[in-house]
Amino acid sequence: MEDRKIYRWAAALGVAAAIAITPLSLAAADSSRPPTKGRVPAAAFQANGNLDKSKVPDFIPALDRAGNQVGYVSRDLAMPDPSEAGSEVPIPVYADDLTTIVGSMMPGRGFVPRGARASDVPSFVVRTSENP
Amino acid sequence: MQTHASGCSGTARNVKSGYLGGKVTGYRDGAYCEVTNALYSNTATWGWQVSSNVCSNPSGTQEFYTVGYGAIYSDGSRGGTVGYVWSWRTSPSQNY
Repeated sequence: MEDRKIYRWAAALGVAAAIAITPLSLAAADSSRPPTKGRVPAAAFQANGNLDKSKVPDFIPALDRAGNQVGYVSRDLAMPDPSEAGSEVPIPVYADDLTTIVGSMMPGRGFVPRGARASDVPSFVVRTSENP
Repeated sequence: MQTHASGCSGTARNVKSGYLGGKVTGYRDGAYCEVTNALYSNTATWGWQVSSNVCSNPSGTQEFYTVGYGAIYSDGSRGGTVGYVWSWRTSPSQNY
């Protein structure tokens, strides 16, 4: 049980650290070019269900619940590696300059503007059922 | 857009007991919409599904995709992930 607790905290800290240093980390990882931004091309969604992240810009547009673009999210945080896919950590939403944080995308709630409380944004309905 | 995260593929894994977890992200015309919480079940059944509205649907035709992640858990604790199971996508062009 102790190992699982360590794993959980390690995963949470890892994601938090990723949020804290993005997008500086992206610039540092490949200083030869500025980060790219743009929509995910349809070709990235492969027929076999896999996602080809090599075809995805560094930052992708983020929409609020009404469908309005509110900023950009990091590809690597929006499309985490499988080992981190279960994380419940919000991911930051950046302004057009890819530096200024304007809010966050919160699992189960969507876009939460900077300065707003997550509890002020209603969660959306998810239904589960057996034997689809 | 409502997504039903029920289809799956990948490598089957056998576990003595535990939880299945799933999480779905929606994309509309290549933009990130919303992501569900990770949802878990230890139901003793051959399958279960999650359905949720994750992208708004304005008039006209949009390209909708959902990307899901599944995982299996070694026991009732959600921290004990032991395997990544599948990802999937929905049919793209839709005009409701």
